Amino acid sequence: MPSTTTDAAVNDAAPEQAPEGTFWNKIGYWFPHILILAYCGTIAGAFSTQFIGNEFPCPLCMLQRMAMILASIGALWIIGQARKGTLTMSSYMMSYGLTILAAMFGMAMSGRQILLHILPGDPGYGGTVLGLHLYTWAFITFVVVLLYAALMMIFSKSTFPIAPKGNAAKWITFIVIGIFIFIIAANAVSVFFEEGLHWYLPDDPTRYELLNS
Amino acid sequence: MDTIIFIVLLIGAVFAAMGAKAKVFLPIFAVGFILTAVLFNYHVTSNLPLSF
Repeated sequence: MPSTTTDAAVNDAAPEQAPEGTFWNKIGYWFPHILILAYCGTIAGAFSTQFIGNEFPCPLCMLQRMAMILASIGALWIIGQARKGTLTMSSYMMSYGLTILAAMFGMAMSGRQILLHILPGDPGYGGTVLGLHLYTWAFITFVVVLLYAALMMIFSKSTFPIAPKGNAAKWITFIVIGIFIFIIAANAVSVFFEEGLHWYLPDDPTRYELLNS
Repeated sequence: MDTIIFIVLLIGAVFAAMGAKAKVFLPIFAVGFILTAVLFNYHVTSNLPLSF
């Protein structure tokens, strides 16, 4: 018999490590935090363009925010399971699989928006940051996340996350999760104001529908 | 639709943070993903005012 149920269970279990974990186990735990914070920062930047720059996010912009949140949720599941002590090799792989899926999805959305404005003379949608439109930056972030998740999967045995003990680590995780939840809730409220009681956002939004209905 | 998707994502994030079991978390993620895909399909296939 090439394998048995017991073998499968052993293969799926967390790799044997020292209880505190190695440097790479810690990297494997903190990198998902960095991914989540990076996307929170990106979406916060988009919020500043929306509220300070008075630019209304278009439907494709909102879809890209959703893809960023989906990619972060994959990483968040790793953190949640690592803290709970239930993370297995298969669920670790599954989490990064979800992140890759969401990043590819986001690439399709931002790629679509880039192609809509690719003709010479087209000014593009909204303002620019360092010469690139926000959707172009979004495409770059999705490529980076795709590469990151692929590398973490390739080196999964050494980067298998082990949650550090102690209150400081617990609080950092708690704060990162809090910021992430706040960003999602803020998006829900913001898009509700922009969409109003309509089913879809207009292609080129120019006002908050809820305030003008 | 967008508001509903963000609420689904919010629920998914809460379950992910709690380290929920795959059979609980994955369906929520799948619902969020599929709804986003449906919305993307709508916007890609709708008539955009492309005045080049």
